[in-house]
Amino acid sequence: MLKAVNLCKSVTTLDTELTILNRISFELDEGKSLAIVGESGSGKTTLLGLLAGLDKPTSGEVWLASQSIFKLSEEQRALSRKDNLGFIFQSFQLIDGLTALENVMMPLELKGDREAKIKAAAMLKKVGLSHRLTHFANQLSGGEQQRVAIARAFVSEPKLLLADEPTGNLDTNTGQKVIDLMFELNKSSNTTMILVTHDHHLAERCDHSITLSAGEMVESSLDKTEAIAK
Amino acid sequence: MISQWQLIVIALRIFKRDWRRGDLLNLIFAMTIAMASVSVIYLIIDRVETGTSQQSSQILGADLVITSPKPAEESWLAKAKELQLERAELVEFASVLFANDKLQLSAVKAVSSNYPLKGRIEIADTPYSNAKVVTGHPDKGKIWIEPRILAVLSAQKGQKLELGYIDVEVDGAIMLQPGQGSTLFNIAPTAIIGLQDLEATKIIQPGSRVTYRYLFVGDKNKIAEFNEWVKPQLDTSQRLVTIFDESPMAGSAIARSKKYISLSGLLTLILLGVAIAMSANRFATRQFDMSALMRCFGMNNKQVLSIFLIILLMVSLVGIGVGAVIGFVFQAMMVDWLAELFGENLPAADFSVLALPMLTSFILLLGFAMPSLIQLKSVPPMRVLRRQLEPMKVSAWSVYGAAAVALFTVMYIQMGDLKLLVSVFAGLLAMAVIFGLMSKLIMSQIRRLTQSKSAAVNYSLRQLDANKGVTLLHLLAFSSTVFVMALVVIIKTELLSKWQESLADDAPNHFMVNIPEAEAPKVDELLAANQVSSTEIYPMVRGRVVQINDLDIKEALSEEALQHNSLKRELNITWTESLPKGNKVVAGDWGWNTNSEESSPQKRSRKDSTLTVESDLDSAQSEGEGATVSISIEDKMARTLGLDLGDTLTFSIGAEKWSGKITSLRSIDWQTFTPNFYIIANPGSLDGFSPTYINSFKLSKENKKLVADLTNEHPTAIIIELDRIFAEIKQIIEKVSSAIELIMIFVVSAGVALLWAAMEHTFSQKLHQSAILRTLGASRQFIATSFRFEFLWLAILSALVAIICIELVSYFLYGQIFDIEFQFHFNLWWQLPTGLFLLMMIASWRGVNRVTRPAPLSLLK
Repeated sequence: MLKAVNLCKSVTTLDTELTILNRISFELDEGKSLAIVGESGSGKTTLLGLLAGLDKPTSGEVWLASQSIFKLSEEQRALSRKDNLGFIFQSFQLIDGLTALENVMMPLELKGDREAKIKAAAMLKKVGLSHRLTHFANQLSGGEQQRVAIARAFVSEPKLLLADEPTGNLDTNTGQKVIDLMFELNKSSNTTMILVTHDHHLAERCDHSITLSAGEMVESSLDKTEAIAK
Repeated sequence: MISQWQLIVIALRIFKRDWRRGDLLNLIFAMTIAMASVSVIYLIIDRVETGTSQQSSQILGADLVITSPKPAEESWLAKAKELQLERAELVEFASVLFANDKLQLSAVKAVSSNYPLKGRIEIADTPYSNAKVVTGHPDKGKIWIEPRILAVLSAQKGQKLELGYIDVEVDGAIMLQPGQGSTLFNIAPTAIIGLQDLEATKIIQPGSRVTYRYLFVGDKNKIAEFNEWVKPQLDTSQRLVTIFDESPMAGSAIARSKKYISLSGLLTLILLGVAIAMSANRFATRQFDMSALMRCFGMNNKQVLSIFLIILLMVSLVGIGVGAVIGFVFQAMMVDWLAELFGENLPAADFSVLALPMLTSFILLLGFAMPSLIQLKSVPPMRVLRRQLEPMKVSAWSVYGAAAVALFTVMYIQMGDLKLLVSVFAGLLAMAVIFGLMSKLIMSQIRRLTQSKSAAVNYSLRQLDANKGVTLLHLLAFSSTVFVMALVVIIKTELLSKWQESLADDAPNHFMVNIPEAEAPKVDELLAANQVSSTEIYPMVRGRVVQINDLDIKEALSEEALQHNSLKRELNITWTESLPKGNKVVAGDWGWNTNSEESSPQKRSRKDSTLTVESDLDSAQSEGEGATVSISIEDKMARTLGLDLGDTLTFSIGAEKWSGKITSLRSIDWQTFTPNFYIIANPGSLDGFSPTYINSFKLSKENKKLVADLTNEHPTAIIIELDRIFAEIKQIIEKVSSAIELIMIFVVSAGVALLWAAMEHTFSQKLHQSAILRTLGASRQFIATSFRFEFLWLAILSALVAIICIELVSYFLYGQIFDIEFQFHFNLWWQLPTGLFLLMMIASWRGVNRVTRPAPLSLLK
């Protein structure tokens, strides 16, 4: 389903080159979940961004559904995201000014789905927000906003769901509910899921995990693609 | 405790940091544009005003002229001397000149040796031969006379004429003199003698009708001071002569262009206010985090506000400084570049006029930026924890109130006339209310439209609806900018086309009056034989208004109304079947309801000498009872004299009395160079009187000698030559037209720059949104399309609001201020939305690229 091969990302500062990710390789099967754990600054979010094609690596490849995504143009990657990916952010990233319903409708509308409204409303009902359809993002609590974000991520039935610290901005109790919801939806829709988290309990709920430290993959329960590639 | 000094240091640091980051650039840009455009307009106004007033002086013969039926007060002359004004005098009276057993009533001017102080007199040995410029007056015992006196008296240079008790020798023909434009219907031709000969003529006796003219020139400010000082001391018989009296055409062109320029100035101020408000709003929004942090670090509301006020002051200093320099350089370049248009050099720019725009820009900044900045002091410190917390919104009233106070103040500074200002301002407020209501109405309906099949269309509409505040601000900014630009352009176009029409190459430049009835066809023949086309020939009977509704005018009218020009002299009354060119019926009905046979009451009336019209309008239309004279009069004259449809005017024509009932009121475009009449009667109604005829035609330099032929063949007719004065007027009008063009270019450029800035403003908010959409898989195409649709809606809505306001405002401006006939601007209805949309497309090119190019992760991290 998803394969990362020798992913490297470095940025050039004033006088030095800073390596953010170094030779990360792994492979994840369809319907499985993976937790990326590590300390702050270890490169987790950067890795997630590269897996989603939101940024380009310095070198290396990502294969999504047998397609090397960095051989695609940025425009084609956006199309591939539309068809294959769902995204959940730590800071929710709902579009200001759109209602909860309109936020969830957005990915469907981008696909030209005529039933966007019905599907979005149904998904919001699933996440327990049927009474909040016409509320704007700033009228919702943090937990509610994250549930809208989850609904938005799952509504288009993505093949791969990427979540960046989905509970990072939530209290333990709400965070737990959000996680339960995510896994429930993941299970029911057979989505492949990758989570970036600090939370070891959350990591343990995933089928696999990898640990990053200073841009290096120091621990993994997955096959090394590098070896496979060889 | 933080000291004031520390606050300044903190403000300076933030200023430096934001300057580097570019956060302040928009506000400084708006301020700079504000200052630059106001400076340009003020400088150009100053230069053009000085230029045109110099030209007006040429026509007036001085910077300031006072006329009086008695010698001026000694104190006035002393005051003028104290102010170091140079003075010339002339005494004007009507007298008869005799020669060769012929006589001609003339307007004699006895002038002092330094006459005229401005402008020039041109004298030729024989009419229409090479004229030379002279100053002062003819030598003792000599006289200059207009060619038509020469023709009537069959005199020539060197011949003696009798004037009162003395003989004077003809020293030349007057080809040009100051104030020649006013002689249009002044039947008596001019003769000029030296003031030293006046006494010897013994014409001036106690009780004689004499006009004393005092001409002054001097420093602009001193002339203005003298004007202000002397004005209240004038009695009703004395007056300050303006360019209007001497040359109504040039006068009204100058007056209209001044109105136009000051209107453009005012409209620009509105533009700039909007620009400043937008930039300040953007600046303030970006400072919310900073303010929350300051509050967390222990600063109180007042200190936070002080810091941002100091920043505002720094912004204004930079903006004003840079703007003034740009404005100055720009106007110098433009005037230089357009030097050809201005004919001769304009006077140098006066730096002191920049003080006003500086003050104006600063007040605008305060009024329009304050409401946004005040928000900063109320940013809750909790925002550091919850970013979505925003300061309490400032109430709409305080936002608009502050803006209104600022606008009112700067307009007062600019106009100085409180009464006029209040009415202009009331109009502006009404417009603001219409703007506001329409925008609100539109906004309330937008979400209903989001049923399109295109996600981009839906998204664009939702965005407009979602950010109501911003959309409203943009709607207001775009529509007011478009409103200002379009208004400035259309009024310019109307004014210029009006002038071009009246100054068209085939516009008549000669009038022939007093043509005896029997000779009228011959005049036409002679003109036709020389390929000169003339306007319609009009019969004319001269009469003086003596009664209104059978009451003597002294009883019927107020003291003020009695001063109207139309009552002081004999009016030319004509009759015609068709409405003359440049005339428009504004009340009543033009169609004459009586035919000439029925309506020849004069034939009867002359038997009993008077005719009073008893029947009312309706009965006048019925046959048999149609013994009614219908007259049509000029609307302004009617307004001043308090006349209305159905009122009866009685004229004294020769020894007879003749009355007519008003059946229509006409507006007259006095700027057409064709014969215009205050009074037009129904055809046939003046049959009992012997009319003379009036004609106007265009003579080129080549066939100018035709004047002499016409004069010789029709000695009793009088030819009024306006070609020279028209050339001067044309020059003035061309100059003011260029000024108007120039100012229009500036206003429109400022508008475009501000629209550009507003577009940039919209993109700063779209960066983050675009990143989220990209993450969700939206293509660049989708994002660009949705943004463009947003602009399309904004363009359509802003243009719609602007057009409605333009039609309303121009209806008022045309009628009340510019005296132009109002017409709907149908073209604008498609031109404005299209133009605005195209402009937005061009302006958004960079913006769309900017928000869709960066990798989405970099924006979301």
